[in-house]
Order: sequence, then structure tokens, then C-alpha cells
Amino acid sequence: MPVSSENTPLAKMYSAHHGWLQCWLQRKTGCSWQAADLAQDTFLRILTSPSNADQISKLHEPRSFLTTIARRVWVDFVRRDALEKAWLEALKQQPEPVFISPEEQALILETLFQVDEMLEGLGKKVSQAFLLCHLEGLRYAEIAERLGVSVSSVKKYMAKATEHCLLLMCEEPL
Amino acid sequence: MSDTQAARKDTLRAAAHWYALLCSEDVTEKQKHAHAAWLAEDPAHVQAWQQVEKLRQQLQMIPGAPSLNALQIKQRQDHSRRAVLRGFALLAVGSALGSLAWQRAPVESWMASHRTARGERREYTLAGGTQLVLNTATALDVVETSTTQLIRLYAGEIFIRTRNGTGKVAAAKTLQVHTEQGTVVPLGTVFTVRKLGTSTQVTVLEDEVELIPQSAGGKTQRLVAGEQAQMSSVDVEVATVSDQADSWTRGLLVAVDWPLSRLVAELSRYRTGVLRCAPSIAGLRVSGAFPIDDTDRALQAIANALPVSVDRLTQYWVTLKSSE
Repeated sequence: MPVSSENTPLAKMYSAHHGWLQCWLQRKTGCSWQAADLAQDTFLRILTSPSNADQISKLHEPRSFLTTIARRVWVDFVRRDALEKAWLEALKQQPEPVFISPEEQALILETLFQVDEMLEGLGKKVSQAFLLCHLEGLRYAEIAERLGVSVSSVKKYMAKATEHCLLLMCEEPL
Repeated sequence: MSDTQAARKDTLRAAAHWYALLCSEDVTEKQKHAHAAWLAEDPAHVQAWQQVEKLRQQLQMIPGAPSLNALQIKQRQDHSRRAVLRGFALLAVGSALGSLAWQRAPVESWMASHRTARGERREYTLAGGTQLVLNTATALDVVETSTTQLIRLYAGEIFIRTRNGTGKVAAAKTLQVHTEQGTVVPLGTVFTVRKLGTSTQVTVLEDEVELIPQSAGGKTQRLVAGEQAQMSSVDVEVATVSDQADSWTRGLLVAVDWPLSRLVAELSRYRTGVLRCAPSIAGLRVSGAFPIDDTDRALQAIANALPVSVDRLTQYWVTLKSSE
């Protein structure tokens, strides 16, 4: 991890709190190996986010800041893991065998992760309508039939899901 | 929340409503025009629409059937997963967008007056008799003023043949093609203009054209038949061409000793979805005339001629691989 320059605020934070964070994560996850990974990823996320890196020198409670970021890293990790398993399961269920290179796979998983994250918190029918339109290319009438709702509801769901995604995309990243 | 933030949210909401309307199979021409008018109203509307476009492109990057299946499987499992996370007092997660390089079509292409879909080719005759052919995924506006017939090319490729040998549309009217990088003025009859990422490619087939890069301080460059130029906003690079630059108007893509990667990139312009080739075979040399109206047949022809096989995840996700 490139925090070798010892005088940066992040480097100071790393040496002061990395060990503590790893212990905290180990208590939470029950696995020392995973805790070490998550602690590294937490600092990496701070390092790669300019707004986070700026905040460090002004922090009064560095540990509470660290645990906030670490929680997000952990949530993402669990989500990614679940999605990867679901993706492999979906591939098995394809009618014909599929070959995908590791690069393609990584790209698909990353995009799936982002889509899944964006649709989180929307109602089931809303996110289903959105996915059926984009991933299956169904017409509104077909989606309406599939979900047992009216066509005008499908249009409303589409608008709602799109608005939700746009708001997330335009938010300042944390 | 500040007023600007509130206004921004309202604009995003409006963009989402337009999108839901435009995705519908029942959308009318009138509604499409109303959408174009909405975009023209305010640069903020264009900005919001760019986000819609970004979202759409992102969703196009993943193969449909297995992705949908995977997301559904995961949603079913979410309930049990939440139990695992409960100990963590979950916070809402911000979106982590931006790590993928989206190929974003310019927003203007949504509201352009003349356009073609991927794989489509269309021919128009403009006022004054100018013949205009649009290649795949092309968008442009034609603006008539008292002195100029102006073609604004936003995306794609066009072929132009003016009616007489002067490049003029009428006695006192000049034809001009504008792109992001500059202006093309025909001094003759037949040429093509193609919008690439950060440059404009002009090929002259008969007579001459003049190129005027946008920020070159008025400097111009003349091109004659058989020459091809890459115009950036500040300069022009000229080369001679051996390729048949207008073969696409006859439905053919002609390759002469091209690396396979170039042929694949060119063919992918005519297909929806992702088409690419494995790095190990990218450098294979290939020559031939390939049908652009049936790219599956073109791929088959490549597979017959080279030690290459065609891998299809879906018809929207195709990779050429070494068959050795």
C-alpha cells in the first residue's frame, strides 16, 4: 500500500490506527485473515477518494471515521461475494455452456455490482420492471403482463427506478 | 437543501420521466419532438440527459439473460444476507460509479434530425440536390441559412455527393460540414466525413475539399482526391488512401492487409452489443470484402479464412478467439 511517505496525514493515521482497526474488524468478522484484507482495503479506499483524503487532517475522531469507512468496505465485500456466487449460478443455468474470459468476467461483475447497488432500496416490482426492460428488452406491455400490473404502472416504475439511479449517480461519492 | 440542489433534483426527475416515456413502445413522434425541445431549453437538461445516457450504456455492457438471472438469484438471497450484516448497523451505501470507461454517445445524437441506428444505412437528397448517405450509428442536423447549407455531424459517418462540380448547393449557397473539430468545405463533389473519438476523418473521392480546424487560427488545409485526413481541433494530418473509403455505401467493408483487430473494430460499428477479438489473434493479417448488413456472415467468413473461432455468449457479446 503506497503510504510510505511518512509525513502525510494518511500515513500517520495508518501507523496510529491500523492495528486497532484490524482488531476491531477481527471481532466483527471473526476471521483474522479477512480482517487484515478489510483493513487494507479501508485505507486504500480513503487513499483513492480525494474527498476522504482531504478530511483526514481535520478529524477529531479518526477511529469513528475509520469504522464508518470499514463498514462500507465490508458491506461491499459481502455484496460482491453474494453477487459473484449468483452470477456463477446463473451461468450454470444457461441453456448452453458459456465461456467467458477472466477479464470479461471481471467487467461484467463490476457492472452487475453497480447495477445491483443502485437498485437496492427500490420496490421489487420497480426494480424488476427496470431490469426486464433493459436486460431482456421486453416491451412495456410484456412487462406489465409478467408483473401483473397495468402498462401505465410499468411506465411509472421505469421513471421511478431511473430517477433513483440518476440521483445516486449524481451524488458526491463518499 | 439549497435551491440549486433542489433544481438539480427536479431536472433529474424530469429526465427520468422523459426516459420512461421514450423507452415505451407507444412513444409518438410528437413526444420525441417534445423531448428534443426540452433538451434545447436548458443546458442543465442536456447535462441530466447525459446521465441517462451513461446509465443506459452501463446496462448495455452486461449480457442480458445471465445478468438478469444473477440479479434475481441474489435478490432472493438478500434476506438471509441481511441477517449477516445486521450486526454492523448498516449505513446506506453511496454509489461507486465511475470505474468503467463508458463509451458515451453524444447527447446531441438523441435529438438530431437525421439519424441511423446501428447497422442501418440511409440515403437522403437535400435541398439543391445534394446526395447524403448516413452510415451506421450516425446523427446529424441539417441547418439551412440564406448562404449556407450546414450539416452538423455529431456521430458516425456520411457520404456526400454534391449535384454539380463546384461544391455549391445553389448559386449563392455553400455546403459545409461541421464537427466538433472543425469545418469541411467541398470544392468539388464526392467525399466522406467520419467522426472519430477526438478527431474527424475526411476522405476525398473526387475533386477537392478544404478543411478548417476549429482552433487553428484560421489556417486551412486542402485535400485532393485519393487523400485522407485526420483533423483535430488544431491541425490536420494528411495521408493517401488505398482503402475503398466509400465501399460501405454499397454494403461492403473492404480490408486490405489489415490487422484482425482493426477489422473487428470496424465490423463492431455495425452490430449492437460487444464484438472483440482476443489479444493473441489481434495481429493476424486479413484482406477481403465483408458484408456489413450481415455481420454474422462476415464473422463466419473470418473464421473460415483464419485459425479463429467465434464465441457467442449472446448475440450481443461475441468474442473471436484462437482456435488452435
